[in-house]
Amino acid sequence: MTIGGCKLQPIQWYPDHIDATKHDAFTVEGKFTCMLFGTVTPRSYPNFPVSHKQQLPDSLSFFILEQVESDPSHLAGVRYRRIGYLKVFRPADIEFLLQNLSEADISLI
Amino acid sequence: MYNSSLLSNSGPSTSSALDLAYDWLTTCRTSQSFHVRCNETHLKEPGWYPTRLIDIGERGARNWNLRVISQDGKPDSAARYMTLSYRWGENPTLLLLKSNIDDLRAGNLIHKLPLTFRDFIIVARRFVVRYVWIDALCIIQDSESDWEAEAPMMRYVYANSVCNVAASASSDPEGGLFRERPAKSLMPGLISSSPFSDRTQNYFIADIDYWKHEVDYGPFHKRGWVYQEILLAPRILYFDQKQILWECSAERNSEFGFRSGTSPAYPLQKNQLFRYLTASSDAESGQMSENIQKLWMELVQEYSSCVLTKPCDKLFAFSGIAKLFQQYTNDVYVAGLWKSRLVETMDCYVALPKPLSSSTYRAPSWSWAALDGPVLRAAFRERVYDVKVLDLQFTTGSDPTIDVTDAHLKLRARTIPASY
Repeated sequence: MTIGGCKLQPIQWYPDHIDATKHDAFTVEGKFTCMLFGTVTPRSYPNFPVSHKQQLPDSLSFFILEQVESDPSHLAGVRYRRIGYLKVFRPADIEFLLQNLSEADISLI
Repeated sequence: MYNSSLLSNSGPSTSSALDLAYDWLTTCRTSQSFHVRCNETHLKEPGWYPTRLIDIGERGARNWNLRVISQDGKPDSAARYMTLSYRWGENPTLLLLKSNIDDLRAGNLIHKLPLTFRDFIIVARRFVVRYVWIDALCIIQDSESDWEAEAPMMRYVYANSVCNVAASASSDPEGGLFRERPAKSLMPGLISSSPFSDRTQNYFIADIDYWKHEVDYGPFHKRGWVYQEILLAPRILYFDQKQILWECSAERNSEFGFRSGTSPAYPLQKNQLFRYLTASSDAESGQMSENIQKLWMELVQEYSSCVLTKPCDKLFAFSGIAKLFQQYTNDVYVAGLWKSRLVETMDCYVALPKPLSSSTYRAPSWSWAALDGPVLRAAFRERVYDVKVLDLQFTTGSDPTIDVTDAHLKLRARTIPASY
């Protein structure tokens, strides 16, 4: 999986469905958007000095979103649909992702 | 303590086994201290009756008839009813239909009912209860409007029953409740030993995980519709393959197992459900408390692993539980999530994805209710949510716990493009 131009491995990703038309193929295919949903804060180590690395979250969780081609509601703007969930644990990946995220308003159906 | 006086039973159809079940019921209904939670009216609506009931008559009566409350009136104020949880099987033979309502109101022979229903009547009569509720005979099965009116009532149907009988060993209505069992095979092993002193003592070897593997994780509990029936009923009498088992809000008991003093741990979720909801002050604040939100996610996770014959029933078969939470929190239900805890209740994922079984819309993509496979809630560790809810719009039918026609959510979040 390539996120923000970088191939990140290993990560834990959880597609919501598999594609019934393609045997064992996940629905998460092609281009999509990862939306940072939550972070798990680092465990506290009260008796140890906190380094820069320890300030990083323990993990990040993302919703994997695909753009909806035809929105039945016909409302204006780009709409997204959740198609999966992603967890990232590796500190280097977490650091990279946090530096490369950009804020956006996302409409979900 | 092991209950050795019951070992002479040959099967739960014997009067002594039903006597034991009746003792459990009587103790539960009359004990004002230990069973106080079972008799609380918090979750019940005193004087409430389902739209229809089955009148099984006095002991010895050979006929039953359908009682339609709006036409035939409520039973007298002391009348109580029992409910039945069972599996429908492939081809149920007797159903309430628009065409046979009058026939069923007029009266029918009990001996022509499917075996499970007949056995259920035997139990109800032993419990001195004249009315029973069975979904196949109390909901008009060929009327969509009746189904939509009755399905949301399950919260009250089960919570107000005296006791729910669970046909946990039968795969269809012809399977019956009672089983022939050699008592010897059920007796726990007996050993004599003196591990702690010179004095030899007798010890029983009992299967303390019986509840877990036969009931909690058994196939009956994996049925989607059964989930809320079991959770909402104040008392459940299981007719298992090997023995009868009792569960109320205070304890678990079994025919060949343990008495209350050493009963297996009561299911955590059910215990928490009563404790948290009845102690909650969320209704005033309009904000669901954290422990109730976590409990909700636990229930969602369990329920999502249950099997529904029709995936479109996902919200229907959970609506009784949703209504209960709604009553105690005053929160707004949004397609399986709660408005005051929207982000937290969105936080789940699918461990074993399946093909989407139906293209029919039942919930937005950001709700667990849109997913077919079992979902896992996110761990309750130190969690910080990075999204801000800007707008939420949704449209529901007459009952928001069952019918969502569309829902839009606008979030401010941090994103990154990706490809696979």
